[in-house]
Amino acid sequence: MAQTAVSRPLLTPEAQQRFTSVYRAEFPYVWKSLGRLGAREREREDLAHDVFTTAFRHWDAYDAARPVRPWLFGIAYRVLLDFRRKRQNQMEDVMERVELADAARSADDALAAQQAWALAARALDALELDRRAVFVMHEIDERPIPEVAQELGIPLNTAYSRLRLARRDFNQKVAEYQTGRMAP
Amino acid sequence: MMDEPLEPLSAAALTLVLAERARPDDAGLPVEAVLARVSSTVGLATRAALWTKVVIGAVSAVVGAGLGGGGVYWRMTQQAAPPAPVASAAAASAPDP
Repeated sequence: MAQTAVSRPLLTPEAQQRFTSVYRAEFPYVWKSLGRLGAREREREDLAHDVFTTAFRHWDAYDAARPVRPWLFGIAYRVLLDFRRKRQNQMEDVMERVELADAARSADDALAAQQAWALAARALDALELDRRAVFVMHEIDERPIPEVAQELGIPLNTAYSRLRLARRDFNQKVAEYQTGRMAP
Repeated sequence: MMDEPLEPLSAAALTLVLAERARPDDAGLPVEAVLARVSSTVGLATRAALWTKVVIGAVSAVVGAGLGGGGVYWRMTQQAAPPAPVASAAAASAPDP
C-alpha cells in the first residue's frame, strides 16, 4: 500500500530546527568520536553522515532532557560496528593510519600535543571495538559507566568488565610503546 | 557487582588520555566538506518532508478520485496546468481587420 510510505510522522518545524542546530554543533564531535573508535580517515565523513542520518530517522525517540553527545556516540558506535561487519575482510592495519611525528622536533608544544594525540590513537587502536567504545566514552568523554551501559545497550556489569579489560590493554600498549621509543 | 577491582591507568597512559581529552573537536576536520554536508543534510531533511507531502498529496488525490468526488485530483491538475495563452486566445477571437 502506498499509505505505508507516509506512516512515519513528519518532524515538527521545531524538531527539524533542533536537529539542524545539533547537526551543526555536534558534527565535529561525531567526527572525532569516529576517529577515536578507529574509523579510517577516508570513511569518516560518510560514517559521520550516516550517524546523523540515523539520528534523523530516530529523532522522535531522542529525549531532549538528556545530553545529546552520549546518544550520538551510541549511534556512532553502532554505525561503525555495522560497517565493519559488512566489510570485515577489507579492514586495513589501523596501525598504519597514525603518522607519528619526529621525536627530534618535539620542542614545540603544538607538535608535542600532536604526538600525544597520535600516541593515544595508536594505543586506542590496540583495543577491540566493544572495549574501545566503553573506554572512549568513559575515560575521554568522561561519561559515567551507567550512562555508557545505557547508550551502548549493554548490561552494567558488561560495561565495567569491558572498561577493566580496556584499561589493562591500554596500559600495556602505552608501556610497550614507551619502552620501544626509549630503546636505542 | 564487579568481581575484580578496576585497574587505574598508568601515569603515561593517563597523560595520553588527558591529551586526547583536550584535543579540539575540529582537529583534522575538512571544513569545506563539513559545510557541504551541513547544507546537504538540511536539504535531506527538507527533501524528506517534501517527498512525504508529495506522497500524501498523491494518496489524497487517488482516494478523492476513487470516492467519486475527484475534486482534489481536479484541483491538482488545474494547479499544475500551465496558464492559458490569454494573448493568443484574445488574438484569435479578435475580428479580422
